[in-house]
Amino acid sequence: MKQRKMHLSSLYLAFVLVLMYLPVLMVVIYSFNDSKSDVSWAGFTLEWYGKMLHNSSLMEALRNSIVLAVSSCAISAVIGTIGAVGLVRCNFKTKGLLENAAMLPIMIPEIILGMVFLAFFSFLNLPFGMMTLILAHTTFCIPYIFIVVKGRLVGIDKSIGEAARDLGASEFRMFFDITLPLVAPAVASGTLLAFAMSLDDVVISFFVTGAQTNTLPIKIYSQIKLGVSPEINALCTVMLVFTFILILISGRVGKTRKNRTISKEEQRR
Amino acid sequence: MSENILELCHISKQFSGTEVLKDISLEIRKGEFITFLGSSGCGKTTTLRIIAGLETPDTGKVLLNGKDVTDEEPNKRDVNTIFQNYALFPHMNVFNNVAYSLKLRRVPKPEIKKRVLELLELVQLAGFEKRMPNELSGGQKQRVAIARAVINNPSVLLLDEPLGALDLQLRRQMQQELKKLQKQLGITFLYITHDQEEAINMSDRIVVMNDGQFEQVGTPAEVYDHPKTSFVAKFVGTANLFEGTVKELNGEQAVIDLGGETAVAHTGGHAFQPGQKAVFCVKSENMTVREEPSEHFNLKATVVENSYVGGMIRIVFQRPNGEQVISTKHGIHANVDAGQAVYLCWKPEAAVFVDL
Amino acid sequence: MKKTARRKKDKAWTMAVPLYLFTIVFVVIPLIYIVVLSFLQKDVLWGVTNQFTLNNYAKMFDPVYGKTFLDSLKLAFATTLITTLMGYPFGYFMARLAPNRRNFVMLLVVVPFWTNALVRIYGWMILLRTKGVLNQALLALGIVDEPIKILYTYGAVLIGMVYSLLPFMILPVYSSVEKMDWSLVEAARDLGAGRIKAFFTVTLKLTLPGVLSGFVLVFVPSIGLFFLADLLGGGKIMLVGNLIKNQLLQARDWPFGAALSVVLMLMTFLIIFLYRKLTHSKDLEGFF
Repeated sequence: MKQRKMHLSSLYLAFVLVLMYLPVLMVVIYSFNDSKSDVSWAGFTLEWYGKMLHNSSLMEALRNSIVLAVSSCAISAVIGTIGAVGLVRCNFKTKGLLENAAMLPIMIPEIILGMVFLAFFSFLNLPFGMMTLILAHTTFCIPYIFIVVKGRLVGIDKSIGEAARDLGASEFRMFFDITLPLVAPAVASGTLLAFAMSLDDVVISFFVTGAQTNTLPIKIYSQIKLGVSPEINALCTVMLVFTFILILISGRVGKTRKNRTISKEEQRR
Repeated sequence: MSENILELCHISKQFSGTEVLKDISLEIRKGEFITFLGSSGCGKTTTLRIIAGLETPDTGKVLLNGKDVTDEEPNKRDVNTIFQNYALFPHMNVFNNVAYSLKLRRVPKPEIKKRVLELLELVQLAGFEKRMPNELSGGQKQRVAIARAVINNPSVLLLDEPLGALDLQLRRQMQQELKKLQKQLGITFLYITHDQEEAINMSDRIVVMNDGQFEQVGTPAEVYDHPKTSFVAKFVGTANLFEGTVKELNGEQAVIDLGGETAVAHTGGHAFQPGQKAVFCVKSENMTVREEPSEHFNLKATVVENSYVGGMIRIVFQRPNGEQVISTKHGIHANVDAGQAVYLCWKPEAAVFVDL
Repeated sequence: MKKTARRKKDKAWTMAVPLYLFTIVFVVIPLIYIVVLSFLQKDVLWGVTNQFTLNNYAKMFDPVYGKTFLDSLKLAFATTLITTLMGYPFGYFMARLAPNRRNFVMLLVVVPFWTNALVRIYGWMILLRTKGVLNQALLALGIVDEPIKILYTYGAVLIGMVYSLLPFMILPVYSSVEKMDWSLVEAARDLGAGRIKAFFTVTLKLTLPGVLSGFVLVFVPSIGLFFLADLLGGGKIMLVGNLIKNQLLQARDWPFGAALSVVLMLMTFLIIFLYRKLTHSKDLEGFF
């Protein structure tokens, strides 16, 4: 009886997972299809990968996306991390309000954020392009980093920092010697998450990008809408591989985090 | 004046409207082992954090070596702390933990190495310098915390319930080691505990704290034998409190009326008037019984239960007014049975008057 | 003396200043601007006038827009319902796996979550189109005689929604089942509750915060995913998200777009408020 039950539940898990991977698998398979239309299989080819590499507008979109993700993540990592450290350590009246407001960009539907930025940036007369993209992406990247770092900070015994102060470290030294190394894994995983979100974002970029600046998701979006070229399949496959690499890296980071730090309970023991 | 290494002058502290410390003052002498004893929430940890510089008092001053350090940053104070959970840096190995304060002071590397290894030897952790904190047992972590805190030879070492997380046997052993270490290093120890036995075993002086105030400051013997307040009497050892009015005075002895029954107590220098209200305590080990009342001693009680606790017999009595009285004695024979009616009795000197 | 106590706290406070400033300039002020904008009159051709009006809100009661709102909500509810029915057992079974298998399944769930949403939607388009993989398979198996139209229908949008948002239901449910105290279920069983009764009286109650968190995480974004409706619905399915997009980019009626956003935002706040009231917790279970 019990054995059969286990079997059924595993079967269900497998079924849902297959559904999850089926569309992804389609994209990968058809990127190797030697046919212009992706209806039937016409043999294996790498042609689309070559075409993709020579498609300059596609490559430019890729470059834009990476520049955008890297710069907005770098800015958010700094603001989010020191913001979390500051907020966890002190207590002032508007703290709760600030925290809620800082989380808003990932709480409200993306489309609202996109609309808000479009209206606000044109109100400010900012030229739409890379700068508006970076500002918008930084706004929604901060909460991811902030929340992950804050979660980690709450788990760190406050007296560890106090011990450093007690032993002669200035506030500044304490931050760099103790706080930062202890939250580094959280900063890394938060930033990776934000990076993935930035690289993936269609909705917000759609509103705040200029006519001249395409990001990869926007490019893919318009290509899919216009009618499909198998180059897109190839590019999507490349992005999948890229994402897998990112996940592997973040898995590594997660592992070292486990080895290097102690939870509060362990310390009490 | 120069004898006092640390002085607290009229310190008060509030946390969001709650008074945690109420105008406390204390002088601590160089080389002293002084213990703050009190239950959790009495303000002892706050006092320690104010001395360490981790909190700033609302009013009052902290003088270290005669110098006002009230507003000094914790890193500028010649005071080090051993935290309750050790607070070892989880990302540094034992060597780097202990060496941290020397590195901050830019001590040359060879000297750091020499001093750290010496100290690790002293705390019996030679050979552990490469270990990470999560690879150490509770006792070993404790020793690292000690080494890390004393490596700079601070004027005062603050210890916040350092043995609280250890099991009983290890705690006893560490108590002795700490005491020995304090003698060796000659550092003033300011020790916090809620364990009265620990306080009595280790300290030169005990500060009994309750509700943000000092109830009594004195040697272990003073605090134990001559509690000044009913709180101290109850907190240090097991004491029975009696509240009554002075009936008559016979020289050093006072006969106290306890609701119709009477008992005798030594005045201990108090100038009583007949009719005055008075509270005294009798430690459980001084509480005895007899079968017949005497002229001034006629406290009736019934035996509720006998139990054997830690090498002692503990007898619980109940007085007619419902109050419970506890007596302890060595051995395993209680000599009384549950339900038996007896009369309580003690040597007059064993009764100590406390503040109302 | 009190002054010094305050001054000390100020130091940590300074670290939060950049976050504070950024949040105010790029979150709070823009949101206020949108609220203001939603009460202004649209200029005839382009831009806005400084005239106060409630027309933008009144316009929502126009049957055309009202229907979009209702359709959008219906789709959101349907998505939430299906993700719950699919995601709860998944999260539950996953939490009951042996640790190493559990981590593996967890990885498998998270990977698509990290891959580009468009890529995955595109995969569905390949699968669902009239001459697509699914239809060819159905024809080959003889289940249907001629290709059925799935892509560019309501059903396709629903499939896409459920597919995209399923992990947001699985993860919180998993997290609440995983940390549940199983001895409580055992106690219920010991006290005579049957397997099913124990599930409904104990397990479900204890994992409710996870489910509710899943509701929020699925429902809120499902209102705004305009590109999904565009791609899988072929532009025929209108969601509030599409409406906002069209008002901004095609009709150029920004005040109306702002009013739609304000209403959507208020709905979101209401949902999060209800969640916090029901679970007595500030954070969304299992998400962070």
